[in-house]
Amino acid sequence: MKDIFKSINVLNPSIVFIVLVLLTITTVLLSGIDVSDSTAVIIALAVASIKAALVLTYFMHLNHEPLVFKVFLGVAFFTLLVIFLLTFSDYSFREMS
Amino acid sequence: MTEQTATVEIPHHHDETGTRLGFWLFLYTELFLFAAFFLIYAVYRSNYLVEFRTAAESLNTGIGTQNTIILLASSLTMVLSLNALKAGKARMAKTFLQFTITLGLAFLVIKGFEWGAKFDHHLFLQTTKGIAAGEGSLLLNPSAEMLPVGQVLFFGLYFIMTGTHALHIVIGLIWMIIVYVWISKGSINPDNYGTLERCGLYWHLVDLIWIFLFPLYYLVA
Amino acid sequence: MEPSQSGSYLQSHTSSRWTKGFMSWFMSTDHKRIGIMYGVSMFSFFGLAVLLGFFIKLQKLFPAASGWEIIPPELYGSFFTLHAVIMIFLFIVPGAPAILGNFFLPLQIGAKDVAFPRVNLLSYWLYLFGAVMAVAGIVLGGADTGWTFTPPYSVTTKTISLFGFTVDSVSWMLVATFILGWGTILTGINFIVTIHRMRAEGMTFFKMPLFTWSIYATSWLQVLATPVVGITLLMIVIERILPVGFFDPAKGGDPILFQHLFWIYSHPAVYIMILPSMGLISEIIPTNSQKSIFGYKSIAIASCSIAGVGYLLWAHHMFTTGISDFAAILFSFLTFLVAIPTAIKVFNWTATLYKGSIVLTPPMLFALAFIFNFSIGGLTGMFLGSLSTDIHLHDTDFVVAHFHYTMFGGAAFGIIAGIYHYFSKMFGKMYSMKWANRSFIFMFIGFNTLYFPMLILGFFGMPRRYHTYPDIPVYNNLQMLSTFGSWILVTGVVLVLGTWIHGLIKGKRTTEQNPWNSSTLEWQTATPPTLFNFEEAVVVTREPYDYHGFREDVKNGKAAGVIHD
Repeated sequence: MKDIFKSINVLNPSIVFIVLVLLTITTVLLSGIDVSDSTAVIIALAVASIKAALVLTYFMHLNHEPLVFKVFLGVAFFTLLVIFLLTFSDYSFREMS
Repeated sequence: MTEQTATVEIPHHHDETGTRLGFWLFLYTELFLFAAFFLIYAVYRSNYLVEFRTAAESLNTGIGTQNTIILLASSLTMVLSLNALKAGKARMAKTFLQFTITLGLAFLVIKGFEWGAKFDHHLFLQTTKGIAAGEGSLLLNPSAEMLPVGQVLFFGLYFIMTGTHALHIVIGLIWMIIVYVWISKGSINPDNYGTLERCGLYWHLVDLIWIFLFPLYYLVA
Repeated sequence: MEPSQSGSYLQSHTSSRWTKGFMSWFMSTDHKRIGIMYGVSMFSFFGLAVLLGFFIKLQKLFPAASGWEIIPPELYGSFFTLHAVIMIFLFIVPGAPAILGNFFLPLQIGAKDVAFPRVNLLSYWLYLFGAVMAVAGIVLGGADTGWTFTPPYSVTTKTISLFGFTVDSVSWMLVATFILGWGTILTGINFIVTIHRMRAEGMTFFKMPLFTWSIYATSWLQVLATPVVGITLLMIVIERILPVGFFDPAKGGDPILFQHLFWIYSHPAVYIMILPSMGLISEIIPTNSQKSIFGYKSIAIASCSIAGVGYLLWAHHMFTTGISDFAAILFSFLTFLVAIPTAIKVFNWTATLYKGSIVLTPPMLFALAFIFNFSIGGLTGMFLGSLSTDIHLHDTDFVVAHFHYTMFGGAAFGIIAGIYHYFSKMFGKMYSMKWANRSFIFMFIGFNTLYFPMLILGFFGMPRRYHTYPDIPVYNNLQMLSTFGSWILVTGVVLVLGTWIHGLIKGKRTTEQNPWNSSTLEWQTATPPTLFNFEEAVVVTREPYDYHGFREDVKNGKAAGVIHD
């Protein structure tokens, strides 16, 4: 086992993994608290976003990639955001008859 | 005019960064494919809030958490496998890849049991049979066992989203097995690890999608 | 054999197994051959769809009350569905990027090939497979959902059995569209990476020709919009097979949500169709005016902003479906916003013509017709984008005429102009100028005679997709005029295709590098190009449309803008 630790970088990914597990447990525990639905969704999605950012940055090595990779990611996420916002510009303002 | 036929070897053009860039773009298309699902989920959740929350309670948070951690662990071993191969340790890379494959299979098995339990509890097929009996309309069906339409939509989305995700896991597993064989044969090696890297990126994306599926189905009940 | 670069791509092969005949094309990873294969397949399907359109218009020659019936009412729906599916999914969406983009994008940026040649071939196979599947499905089973597949009708419509087959043709077509979608996605990924990674030395982003810019913007739309519709269409298939109801109101679903998801793709898709043609026009106009294009950067940026804003206005197809007033106003505003970069382009093209040495070659005639038709198409789009007039004009022939003015009079005229422009470079042969000019006259007059009356018909309330119309003079006269126009237009299409085929078989051989005296990079290499496009390393030193520097370079015996090391 010691051989592994010497030859390759096990420590950093493992720390990221532990943080991810801790965040998972946190979000499960937080879901037990009785809050309004929208707050619960916001908390759950916020934790999920932090986890996603960790996976993107460290597991998918975005931190070592050239700038253009990050710009592409920004374009993709911005487009996603716009799709959701514009669709809800309809659903949030529907007059339910 | 004489038909001169010259066969020309394509000069091998290795642009690892370019290939990776293209692969990331492919990953975005996968992301947008799931984004459509998430958008449908969001709209129906806002329309049928109570039914969605009731239906979500029937999903087992424990199993969901377990699967989340399994998938995160498989991502970790995937990273380690790539790190090992980059460091020239092909055998160690294979061992870590074995771990990843095992964890992926474990995820599928647990998912299978969960699906099976849902089938037993008449949450999907029974419901839809009921709809079919009512000739396409729940409103016409007098059966007392029927679920409200909001819950039917919830389970419909649950099965199609987790099903599509499971399909991606299967594709990832097949790809990993191929990569495993290629490492054994030596065509993927410390100097040429691009395929393993892309396989890893794909696997992390599958993990990433699960990170969002998990809270939306198991937690916000 | 010693790798040789000297032969033209028509004689050299990328595969060592097949050096002759069909397989040397079908298995080729050479971007030029793939482009030509796309061209042949697409124009075959185009011909089929034109034939269907001819019958659709023939049906409208007289009202049904006079006893006129060419197509029975139950088949009419299948006819316009097949016409639309072929024209949209098999011809105009993949059209310009797949044919001319494949062929000229690497040439324009000085690359040897696209970034992933084998993926490029895979895209073509996916295209061909999906195309055959879609056409076979609908021919065997018939489908009258329209190309939009709007539920609940697309879910509940029964499978029709023809010739003893029972084919669930709607599901077939939906799956086929999904496969076609992956073909365009892979092409888009390929082009983005090619543009980012394979530009020649000195070819900065703002030295790229404008066609490349428009392909770049298009590729982004292909990558980011197509997956959404792919999965949505598959959900319709699932709904047809399993009794779940994602979009069926009887089962709690919301059919308007389907329309949102559908138009999230299909509105950007109209920019996928028109942007590459705009790029081609931006090549043809400066070449045939022998003058630098007016506002190069603004056209390049306009391409990207059309793609960006074009993503944000899908719900203007849904003003009458009961979306919220807030959304309707927002989407109407965004619709008007996209007119700005579009108009910038039109103004820049006309400003380029000013004081230029204009040569009315066939591609130039088609390019000028593009500006004329597209202006009508774009402006009628503004009528439809404003909320109040849209209530009146929605689902009438006005809409049909509007999108034919943009898609046919715009995008398709652009592709035809592009092929006339690049014909000698692609094949090393020249078509007959005389017949090319004649084809233009028939196309232009026929097109406007067919579609302008439809604008008026729509204004008078003629609904689209109807099998016939009431027997009143205003409808009778305009419908008849429109059908006459369709005959002229079909003659024009036959002449265009005939001119090309004749040029291919009997055209004069030419090896002239740069017959139109164009300053962009794709003309500064052999005709037809060699397998690796350029014999020596390419270094780009000039702006793409710097005609002054180009003439200096030619005078000094240098190929324009390219330093051969």
